[in-house]
Amino acid sequence: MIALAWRQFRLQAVVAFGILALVATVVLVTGSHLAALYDANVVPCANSHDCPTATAAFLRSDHFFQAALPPVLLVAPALIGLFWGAPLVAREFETGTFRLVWTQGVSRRRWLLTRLALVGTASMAVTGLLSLLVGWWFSPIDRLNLNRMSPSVFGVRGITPIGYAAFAFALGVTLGVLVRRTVPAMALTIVGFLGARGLHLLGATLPGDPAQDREPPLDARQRVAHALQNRPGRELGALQPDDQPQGTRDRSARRDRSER
Amino acid sequence: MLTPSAGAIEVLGRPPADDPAQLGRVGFVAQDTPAYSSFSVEDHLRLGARLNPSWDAAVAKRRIEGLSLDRRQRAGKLSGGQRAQLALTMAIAKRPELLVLDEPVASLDALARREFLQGLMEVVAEDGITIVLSSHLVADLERVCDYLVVLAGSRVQIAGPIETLLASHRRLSGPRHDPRTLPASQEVITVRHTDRQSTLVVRTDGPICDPAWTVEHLDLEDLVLAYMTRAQGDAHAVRRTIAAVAS
Repeated sequence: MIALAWRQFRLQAVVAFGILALVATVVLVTGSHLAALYDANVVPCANSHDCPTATAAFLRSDHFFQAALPPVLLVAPALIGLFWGAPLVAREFETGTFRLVWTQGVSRRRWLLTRLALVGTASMAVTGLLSLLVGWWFSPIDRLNLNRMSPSVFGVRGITPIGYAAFAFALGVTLGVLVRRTVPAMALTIVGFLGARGLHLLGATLPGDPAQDREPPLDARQRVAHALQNRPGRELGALQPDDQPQGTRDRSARRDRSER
Repeated sequence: MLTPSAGAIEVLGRPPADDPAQLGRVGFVAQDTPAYSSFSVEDHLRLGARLNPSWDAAVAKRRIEGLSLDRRQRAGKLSGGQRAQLALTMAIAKRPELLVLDEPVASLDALARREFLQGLMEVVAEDGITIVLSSHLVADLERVCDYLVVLAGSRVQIAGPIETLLASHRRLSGPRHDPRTLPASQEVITVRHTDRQSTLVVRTDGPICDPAWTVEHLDLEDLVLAYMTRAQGDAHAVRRTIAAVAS
């Protein structure tokens, strides 16, 4: 049964991992450039007094990819629901092949579970890898940008896109089973998924949401100080400018606040 | 395929599609003989081999070679007849005890139909399995089947060995006649009156003694039509299917 599920999914899997490889190449090339910019411009500014200029210049760099990469993670789950979820069962109904496959020596339960497991896992794996790539690309920017709970950032980082992919896939399969025709199921899936996604964005901006209970915006210097504090390489002693004693930095942070 | 809304169905002594073992005992060729259009002939055979524990690769290979199908050809590019043969091959190679065919020849041309039925007869002769086949084409049934079930308005109208059925039905024509005056042993199936003449189809085991009648034997098509006409009169029969069994 796994062989059949794989044979039906083969082409789609090749396409998906081809796109993934393409995105990975772009992300790795431009992302290492971004990381180098961060190390060259932002890290040293903690010692100088020119952080606002440096961070602003840094945050403006690679503007095209800053705009283009998050939508990749918005679109990927939608495409998965559309092309992997909706046709999974609906196409069998539409072409009549369910009569062929349900009368072989495999129960329908196993047939469905195997296909769901294979394509569902692939959905989450592809989106997870994409999320990892995009998250890595944005890591220098995220270090300066503290507001990770903001709806536009939260939805495209970490494991959230995986959840969205699983949701879109399940939605597509369910609608396919109910509608039994591929194209209407695809249309309903895209409407349903974008609707749910839109509601999340809308709901997250309403008052009383955790995303709203955040600290007031910090100025550029504080952001850099915070970023350097949170930098993962710090424990390894990789970051020379940050190696001042804890107390000094706390005092300087307090001074920053009192100056304001 | 569907759970009955009332009652129970048993196939070969157990509920159908109960478990994989039961599924393996019944071969099924669906109407329009569906196949995965992007799969090659080879892919279909591999699918059958993987999904059926009792798969007989030698039978499948022999049939595909006998049909001179190209194994790398995609099913979507096969002709209707070739696709039907592929579906039949898949159903046969799983070595079922019962083969169910739902209008397998409805969309085929006369030659492909004949070849398909010939293939069926070979299977029956070689393996002695039971085949249930539904069709609107009565002439085909007459050639290959032994047992007839007429379904109309979701009810069995008549069932029996074809030879017995043909022997026990007569068409009577003669002067206009009230069918109620016939002897009790003659069951009237259909009646048609003109001004002066009556034509009746009756079922009887005995001879027709009334010299007023001209007595004719029916062929299978007339017989089926007679029962379907009656069913249409009884209820508004929407779907008509004739199933026949060859064994």
